[in-house]
Amino acid sequence: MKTKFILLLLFISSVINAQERSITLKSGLSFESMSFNGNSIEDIFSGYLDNNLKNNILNLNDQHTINFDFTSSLKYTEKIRNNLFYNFSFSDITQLNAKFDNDLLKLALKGNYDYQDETLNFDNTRIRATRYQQFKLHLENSADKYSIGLGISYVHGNHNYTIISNSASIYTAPMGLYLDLNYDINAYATDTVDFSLFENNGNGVALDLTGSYSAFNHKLEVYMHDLGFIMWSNNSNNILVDSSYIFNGVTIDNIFDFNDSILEASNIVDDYDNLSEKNSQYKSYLSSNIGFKISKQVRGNRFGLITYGMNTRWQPYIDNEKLSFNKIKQGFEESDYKPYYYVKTEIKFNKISILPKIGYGGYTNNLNVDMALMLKKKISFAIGTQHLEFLFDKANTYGAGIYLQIFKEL
Amino acid sequence: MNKLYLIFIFSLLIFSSCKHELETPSWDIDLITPIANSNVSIDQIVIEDSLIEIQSNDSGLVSLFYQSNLEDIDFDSLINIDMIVPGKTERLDSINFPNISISDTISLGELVSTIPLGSILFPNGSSASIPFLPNVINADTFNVNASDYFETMILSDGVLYFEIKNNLPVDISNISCSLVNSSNLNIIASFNFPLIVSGSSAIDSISLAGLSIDKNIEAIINNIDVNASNGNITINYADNLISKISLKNLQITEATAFFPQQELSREITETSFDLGDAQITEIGIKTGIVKISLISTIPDTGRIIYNIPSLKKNGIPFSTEKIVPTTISGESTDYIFDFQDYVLDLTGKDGRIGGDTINTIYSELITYIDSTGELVTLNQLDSFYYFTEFIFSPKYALGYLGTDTVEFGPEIIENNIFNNIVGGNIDLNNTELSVEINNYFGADANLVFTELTAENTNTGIITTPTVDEDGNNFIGHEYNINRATLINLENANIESSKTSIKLNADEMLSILPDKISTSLNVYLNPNGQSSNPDFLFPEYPIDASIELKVPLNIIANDLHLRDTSDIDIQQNEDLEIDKVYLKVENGFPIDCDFNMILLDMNKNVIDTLFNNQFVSSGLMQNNVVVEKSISILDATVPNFDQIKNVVFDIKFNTDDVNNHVSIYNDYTIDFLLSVKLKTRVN
Repeated sequence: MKTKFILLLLFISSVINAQERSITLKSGLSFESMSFNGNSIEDIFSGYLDNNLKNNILNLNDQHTINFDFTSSLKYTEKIRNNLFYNFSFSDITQLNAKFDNDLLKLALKGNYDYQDETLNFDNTRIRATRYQQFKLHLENSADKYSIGLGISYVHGNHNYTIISNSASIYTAPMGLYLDLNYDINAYATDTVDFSLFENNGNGVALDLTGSYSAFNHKLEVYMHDLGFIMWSNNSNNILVDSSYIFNGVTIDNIFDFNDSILEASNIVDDYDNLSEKNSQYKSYLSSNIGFKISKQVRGNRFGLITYGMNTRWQPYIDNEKLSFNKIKQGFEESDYKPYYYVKTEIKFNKISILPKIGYGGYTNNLNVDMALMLKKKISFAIGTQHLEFLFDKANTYGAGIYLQIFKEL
Repeated sequence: MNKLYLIFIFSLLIFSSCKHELETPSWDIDLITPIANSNVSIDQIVIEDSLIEIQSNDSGLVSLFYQSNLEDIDFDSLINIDMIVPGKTERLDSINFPNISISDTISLGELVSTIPLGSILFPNGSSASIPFLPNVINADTFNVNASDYFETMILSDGVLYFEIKNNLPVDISNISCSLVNSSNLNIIASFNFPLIVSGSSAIDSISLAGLSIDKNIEAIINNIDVNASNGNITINYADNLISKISLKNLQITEATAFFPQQELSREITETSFDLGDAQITEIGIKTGIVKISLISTIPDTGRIIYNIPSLKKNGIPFSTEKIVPTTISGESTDYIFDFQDYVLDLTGKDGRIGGDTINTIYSELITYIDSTGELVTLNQLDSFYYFTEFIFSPKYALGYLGTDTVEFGPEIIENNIFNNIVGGNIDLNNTELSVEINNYFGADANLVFTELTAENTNTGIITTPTVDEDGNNFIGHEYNINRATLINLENANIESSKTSIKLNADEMLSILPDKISTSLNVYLNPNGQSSNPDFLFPEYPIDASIELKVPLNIIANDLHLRDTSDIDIQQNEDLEIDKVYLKVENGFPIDCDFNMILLDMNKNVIDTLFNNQFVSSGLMQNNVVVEKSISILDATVPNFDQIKNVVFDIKFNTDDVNNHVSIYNDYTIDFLLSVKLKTRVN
């Protein structure tokens, strides 16, 4: 599939009389959260977490949402005819997206000893981690006043881990005399035999649609990027557990024949029989960006375009119903991404440009200051961060990141 | 341009200022979780390495039951048969050889032809008067050929008959004949007959004892005179003179001959087995063989037929026929017959003179030589030698088993029931010691105990029970054991007789014995032979066992048990057990103080777990537990790496030191073990 796709691109490239070519290399790392601020991130990665640090982390919020993205891409753009452009890009993407209650963090950081005679609830806990490569071909017809674009991608899935807990709780009796467990958990994991970075455990497709219209010195652009999915292979593990279970240890029939092998984990799992595990296919969705933006040229040479926009993300967890309004709503909700409103522009200094951007929303509940510095030469470089405020006010910053871009016209 | 680069680099420095030395986070978590639980009833308790069972009566009262079998009392040796019957030799001198008869004929025509112009003077069919003709036959020789019978013979006995029959129309006289071995011309015999009247015969014989004869014998007629006829007679050339030689009743010293198939011997034997005082009439054989060993020097094929008419399987008597080859280097040929599952009648031959007998097997051995159709040289010293061995292990025996006395013991039974009691008192009530005897013998017996002692080897105290439940002095009393009843012989269905000798064991157990010694004598058929036949199945002896029943109706007063166990627990480096909790729900009417003393390899005390922690008895009403008590024991766990032994040190007390409490089989105790664990993430 991949080979055919690349051959097709080479064929297109060879038969057309191309002009205005460019190549862009981008890499970006981003961590964002609605609860973990800059200080807590520093605490977490400071080494050993003592009780004070643990308490600081646990006092942040009752619920946590985190998102981690690491994306590297190479894009080749070429003008085919007067108004017709195409670009081909290859991207390597790693994403981690999680939403969980503070009680789960309590259990993870402290264990259950401090919570005897208490119930820890982990309702609506969702964790997903995905790694894949994307090969995208995008065609765009750009006229004076409008443009329209269509892109299609082949997605080469490497690994995916998804945990969805609709309800879960654990009650620890005093002195640990029993554990009352209630949970409804679906877990999916791709084949764990081979963890190599580019292992092929699934294949998928994605669609891009873009359009723009210019009027009254304004340009309106709407877009939908990476609307697609990955179908993971038959070797994937699907684990379903839905039960209420009181665990009071392994029951020993003959205490006079007791030995420590009785307490092996396998026996405890055997003792618990409400676990369903099978190997089968499953589908996960890509995090697709849907939004619009309006751009206008600012007077004077010092500024470039000023752009206002809103971006959303659509990424449902499970493929539990066909495309419908409910499904569309589910995808926006389960992306854990709030509409991201932003305004950005370019401030030009001869060969250097500053690219400021102020936004609100996304995976945080705060105002984010995105700032990049671009050096324009034969080969242009840009370096920036999505959270410039991280450098100055960690307590009120809920994200960190850095990106790098290299651009050259051919 | 340089200014641009400076700005860019300055910006990079600003970004890099956010760089922080990131370290992999790690932290400790404390977990608490139940590990194991168990519900233990008294029925589940099996005391390791002991023979104690838990029993309950109808009311649910639990008793400790201890049983130890004494050595089986058997009398197998009475009926085991392993006997070699002395050998017997069958020699060739008993070989018979058939009679041999050979004849020769001289016709009148032949005689007339010897007379000059005889055929003219006395033509056939004419009527003529025959004158006296002297010396008509002179030195006439004819050959007697016995090669169809033998090559040569040296005879120890036998008779040679020579007969002349005169079928001529005239008398003959002065008859003289000789028999000569043609090989060496030795004269075997000479015969003379003065007159043989026409139509009559003359016969004579000689003994062949000590003579050697060949297959070719020449008969020489030295002289025959023909007497004158009385007037004319009819001349018939077919009239004749017949000479006949017969060898009869031949006994051979050595011969090269065609020996005929013949029976050499027929030996009928009654073999009596020495079974002592027992008088057995029938034995069912579990495993058994009869082995016949034969040595044959006869250079011809020997054969035996061996019959044991009194040995039957499914009603068919045993019979076999075997070829016996000539021995090589004096080695015997052995034939082994398997008699598994045969029934052996030991009453002797059917219709035996004098009536049935006992302990006797009746057998027949018939020896043969087979004819090979070849010339074989046999000597009277050639022989068959054979002997027979009987080995039988009986499945059963019927008859009279005799009187016998067997001494058993001293048999020592060691137990560890009380080994771990190191102090305190236990008061037991209504304990019972019994000797249970299960007699599968079809014979009466008396049993006399010569010793039964209980000993505490730690204190050296020994007790001996004095009287049984009937008031008899236990030692030396003759306890009668009735015979068993045979229901079905085929499937060994035996209704045993049971004898129980009961003693009060309170006194014996009061010393907490660890050793019991027993000696006894068994007298079989003490009253002699019964009108009912005895029977014995070796697999079903007299079973005797000592049973000790201790009802758990007790008073425990600081009853102190201590036991040491080896342990070797490797501390998990990733998961450290910090503390353990033991929840005990006690449904037994006994309190206990519990200690686990931890020792290092040199038996030094390292720590004590659950130090003197108390588990209270269940709540009692009317001497019955109505509610379990709940006790929670906790202990901080030391590092187990040094710990090599654990001493369980427990003291038991019943609530009331004056009244016994009973343990019932529905009493249970629940354990639930939980632990606090500490582990480090990353």
